[in-house]
Amino acid sequence: MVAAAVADVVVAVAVAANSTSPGSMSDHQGHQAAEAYVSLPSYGVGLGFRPVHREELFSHRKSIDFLEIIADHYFDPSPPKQAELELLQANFPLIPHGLALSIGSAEGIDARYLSKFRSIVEQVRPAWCSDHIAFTRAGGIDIGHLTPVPKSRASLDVIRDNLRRVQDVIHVPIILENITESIRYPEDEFSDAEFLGRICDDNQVGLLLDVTNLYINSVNHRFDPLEVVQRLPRDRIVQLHFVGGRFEEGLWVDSHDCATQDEIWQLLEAVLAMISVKGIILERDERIPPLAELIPELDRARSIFLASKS
Amino acid sequence: MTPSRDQDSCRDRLALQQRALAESLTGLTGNKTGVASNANGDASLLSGIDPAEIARSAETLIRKRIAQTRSALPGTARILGSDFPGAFREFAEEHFFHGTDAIWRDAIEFTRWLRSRRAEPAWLSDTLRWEYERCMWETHRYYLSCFRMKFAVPAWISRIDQPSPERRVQWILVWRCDRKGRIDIFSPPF
Repeated sequence: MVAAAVADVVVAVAVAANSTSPGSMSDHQGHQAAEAYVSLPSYGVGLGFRPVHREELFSHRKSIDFLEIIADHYFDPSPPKQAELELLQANFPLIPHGLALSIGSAEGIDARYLSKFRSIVEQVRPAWCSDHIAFTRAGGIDIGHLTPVPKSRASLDVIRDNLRRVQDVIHVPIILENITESIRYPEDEFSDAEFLGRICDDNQVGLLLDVTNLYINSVNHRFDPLEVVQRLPRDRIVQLHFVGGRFEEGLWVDSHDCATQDEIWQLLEAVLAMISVKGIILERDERIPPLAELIPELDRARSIFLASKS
Repeated sequence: MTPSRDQDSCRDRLALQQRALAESLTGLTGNKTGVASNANGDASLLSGIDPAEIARSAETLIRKRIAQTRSALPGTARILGSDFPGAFREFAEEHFFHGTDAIWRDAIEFTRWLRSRRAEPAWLSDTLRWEYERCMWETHRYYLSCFRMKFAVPAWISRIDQPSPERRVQWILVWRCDRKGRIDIFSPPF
């Protein structure tokens, strides 16, 4: 009940900010935004829900504080999918995670996708929802893959305008996730930390810091991941993702298909020593083992999470 | 605040660059999409981007399509085994991933494509039909289809220890109305 009340306050702040004129947020609005994200409910450690785990979820209920659901999987749901969503909603706090809002698309937001995303948010009534700093659509082509945007002023303008459009219809806090930088652009004007920081400064938006993606980018592109975290607006980092990656042909890739490696655990621990987050999600997408095999990873993350709170 | 002309031109260039990149990653070009593309053929839009990075991203994309289609078509994947990725790559040379429901569309088109190219084993045709109908049922609000199968494919797909389906003629009714109609049936064999 307390969490719901807090979430309502946050919604009110988000709606108030939407009614302002275009342009970057004022200092006052920025302060409001930071406060809004700080006051979100703290969920703990959870799992990116995959249907293969549906039956097992309930025998491991105590190890799963909340679930992140892929919003796209429940667009125009068939009756079994709708029943699944209702079952999950009745038993877990849910966070909808979008794959294709395409917040970095210079051609704007797809109205059909946004409408479907809004339906899920309205049904689930989450404390927050998320998508990625990426584009997945351009010139009518749906790439089906998260593609990075140049870290440039033009991208910041596009992201700002697209976020406004999204926040006009979705009235819960939105957090955006850093992706792996599979493509680097000659137009890049900002470092990773500057770009993420500016997205937060310009908008009423929080960050979903994917620790695995941060690790992969730091190794592939040779930078210090903790220096990036140090330079981020830490009160805007709401949630973390983690999972194992894979080293292939001289590069790390976000394969999401194996147990979390020691290097990534170390980074997760170091990040949590620097910031306080509301939730951590294990995001396994491929070669998904029985849930029992993932529980030790959840327990380990929880012990790091709790230690960071003490 | 109205965007300045500079902002507009930067955004236009970004839009063209994103389109050029989308075309490179998916293998599409303007004439294949049927949409006029200012980006098509303008190499300068991608200049400065490492071609190896684009090639790696395109490869990641095709692998993702293979994995998703394999999940959508478990029976077909079981029959093709290690041939599945190769067959899909051949299919993907002419079938591009784009649009909403792209994952299902890949699965639907791939079953159609395979039906015209492969006939063995004897239960492949029934498996492709069953999985095609299942994808159609998943993706349509209104759908009605009735067909005959020579093999008990649905039972075989759900039993990993059964090497081949039992030969048994059966009629299948696939029926879906939208949620307002409150009728949704994916029939068991009858």
